[in-house]
Amino acid sequence: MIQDLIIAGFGGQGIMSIGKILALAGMLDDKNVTWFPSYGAEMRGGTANCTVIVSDRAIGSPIVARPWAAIVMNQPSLEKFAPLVKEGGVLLINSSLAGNKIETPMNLRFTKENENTQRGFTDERKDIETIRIPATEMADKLGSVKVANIIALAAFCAKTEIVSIGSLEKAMERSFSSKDAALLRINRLAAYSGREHILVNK
Amino acid sequence: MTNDFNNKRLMIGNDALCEGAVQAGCQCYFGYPITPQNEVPAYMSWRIPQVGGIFLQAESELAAINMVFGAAAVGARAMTSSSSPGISLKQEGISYLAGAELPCVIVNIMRGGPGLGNIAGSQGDYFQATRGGGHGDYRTICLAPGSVQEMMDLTREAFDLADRYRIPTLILSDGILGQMMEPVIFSNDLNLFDDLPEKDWALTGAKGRPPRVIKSLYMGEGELEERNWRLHDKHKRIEMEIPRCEYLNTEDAEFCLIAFGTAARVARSVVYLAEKEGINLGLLRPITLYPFPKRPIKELARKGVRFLVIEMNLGQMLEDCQLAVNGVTDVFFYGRPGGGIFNPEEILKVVKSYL
Amino acid sequence: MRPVFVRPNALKNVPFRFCPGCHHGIIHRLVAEAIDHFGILDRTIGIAPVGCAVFAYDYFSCDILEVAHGRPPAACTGIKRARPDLIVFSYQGDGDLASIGTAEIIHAANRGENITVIFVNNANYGMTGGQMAPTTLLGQKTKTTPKGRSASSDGYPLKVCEMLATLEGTTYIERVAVNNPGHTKEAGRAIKKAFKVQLENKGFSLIEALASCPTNWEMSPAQANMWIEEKMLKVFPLGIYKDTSETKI
Repeated sequence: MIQDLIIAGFGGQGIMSIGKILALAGMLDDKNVTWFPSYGAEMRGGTANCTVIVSDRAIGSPIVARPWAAIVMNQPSLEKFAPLVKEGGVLLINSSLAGNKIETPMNLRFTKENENTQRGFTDERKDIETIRIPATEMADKLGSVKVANIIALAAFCAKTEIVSIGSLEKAMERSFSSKDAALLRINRLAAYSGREHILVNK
Repeated sequence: MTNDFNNKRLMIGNDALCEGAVQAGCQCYFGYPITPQNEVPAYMSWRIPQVGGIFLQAESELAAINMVFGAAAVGARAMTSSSSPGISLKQEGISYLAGAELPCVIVNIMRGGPGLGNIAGSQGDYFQATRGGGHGDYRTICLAPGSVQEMMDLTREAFDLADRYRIPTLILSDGILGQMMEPVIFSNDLNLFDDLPEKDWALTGAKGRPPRVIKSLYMGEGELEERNWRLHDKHKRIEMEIPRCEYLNTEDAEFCLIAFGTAARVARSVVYLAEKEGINLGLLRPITLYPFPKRPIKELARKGVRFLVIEMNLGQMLEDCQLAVNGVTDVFFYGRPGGGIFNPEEILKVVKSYL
Repeated sequence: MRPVFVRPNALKNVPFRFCPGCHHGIIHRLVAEAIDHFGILDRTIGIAPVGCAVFAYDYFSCDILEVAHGRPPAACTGIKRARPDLIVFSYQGDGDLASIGTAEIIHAANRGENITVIFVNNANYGMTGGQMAPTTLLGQKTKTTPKGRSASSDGYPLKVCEMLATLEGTTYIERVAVNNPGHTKEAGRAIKKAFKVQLENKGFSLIEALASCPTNWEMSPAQANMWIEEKMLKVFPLGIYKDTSETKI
């Protein structure tokens, strides 16, 4: 099985970090994994995205045009990536910042770049499974909006079982433990609440 | 983020490459900043001093390659890295290194060209990397990693090959392989170099022996021709001894993709897609670009296999494939130039059009 | 009988093939005397540049590396960083050091590389037949300045010692000449000093030696020596431009 997903949001939302944590968790599960960032001029500010692939087989292309899943943390990412998710795939939306009001700003509406994604975009795609989670609000309640990314990741993993819970926890530990204990604690809390959100709303 | 787990570590390609160099006992790194290879000097700046090596940020690409020239001349294992425009600048030094028969490792994390191009991954430097690159009649060994693991392993091996043949050895990779992260397994067996020849040519001070000269100028009558014949013999030996490629699904495929590096990764996805549709599609991935693995391609061609060459350029390795096939069967081509990257679905469509 | 004048050990027993009256032979000898003086022949690496001095590998009896045009300071850096126990000198002309290799010399100097540079300034490109060099004097006729070098189109003679002396990284900078016995004696002292600075790990030293090129200047050797005295010394005054060797630890 090859599971490929795109994670996208604003720069500073910790998009790259959760991508790396997911890849690391996949590695700890003894899967083949690839993490690929969108790199370049767009890195500073604006949207950030990365691709993560978790697979039993040797992984081919690190770049995926039509992913199996997407985690979108803001409105521009929703508009860009929701239409690209393959039929039968999974879309996780940070509903605090995306998907409530679908209105493309005038200045974006007619640019060539947006043409294709705009055309295919509907808020409710019936052919994929959509998960909405108010990750930023939940994170705010926990004490830091910065952990919205972990909430989203944990929810996504709970829903899809792409990696084991144990590996995800271990991956988080390895990513945060060197920094400080408080950081690890709040991220653990975030992971717990993200997972809870899915289990409770099943 | 570096994490050890059963000798496995999740790393980006550029960092893994540095670890390969460190494993090979690289003693000196000289480089100059350019995207998308900036992780290499950044990593080396702290990593190589840990093992007693030298890191120096040079004032230019020219200086960097000539620092490598100096360090290689005194017998040190030395490396430099850059991306396409910087590699063009280094060509002068590479020609001198080849002429002076000095071993070293040069890394090209390719970006789009010509000129300043862009910073997206590309394979536009294939000709430059496999035809010598600088002035004069020479070749350099050229290795093309296809994964983060190979970024490490082939870099380690590059030092070995460079020393064995006294030749500059290139790692030809690209921005995508350099930036992406995959698990790498650290080998415990690092003693790959037992059978390497002594560096009995290195400039170490003329103590108890006649003075040595390392040069590329041969003004005497017939001297240069003799020298070039010697280089030619060496190239022939390399072409006999080290061509290498990876096969996927080629046993009974009648149609086969040929691709290297990142393009080969995309090609692998194409093979998977074809499999789902019941299409028997093979993939041959050259790992050494110079020497090019002509024989395996020739053998498939003799069996009647037809080929589609895929490159992130507009047809460079294609020419080597055509030379190998030599008109025996069809060689088709699909590529996108600097900055563009194809996806597996689009290539599968092309494949089907030839079936 | 005790010989009073012998060939230094650091020179091979072969005759120089430089043009009559050329100063390269004298400067080679002074470098060789310095190597002998310190007894470092078996751990010295010399750099042969591009230009008339490329044949340094035929004359010096230490190990020699021939390096691309202008790049000797970078190659010296590579050698010295890899093997700090070796003594490294580059021997470069004015085209090599002050034109195509300006970046390399400035940055090696600025890093304070522990190397010795012998910079031979003969105010033109000798090997290629006498074209304008960065050090060509204003009004001086060369193959590429048939009416004489003009400041408005070609700029001014580049003063390497003055320039490098401003860099914090440099330790010892001196300009010398070998156009008469007195100057030559001073030059020998300066070159020894430059090697001493390196031997004491005190950093970057450069000796600029004004040199004649009678063939391309179209003068007799004697006239060339006079031309140095009367013309070159005015633009390129001799002397120590920098010496921090006593204060450097």
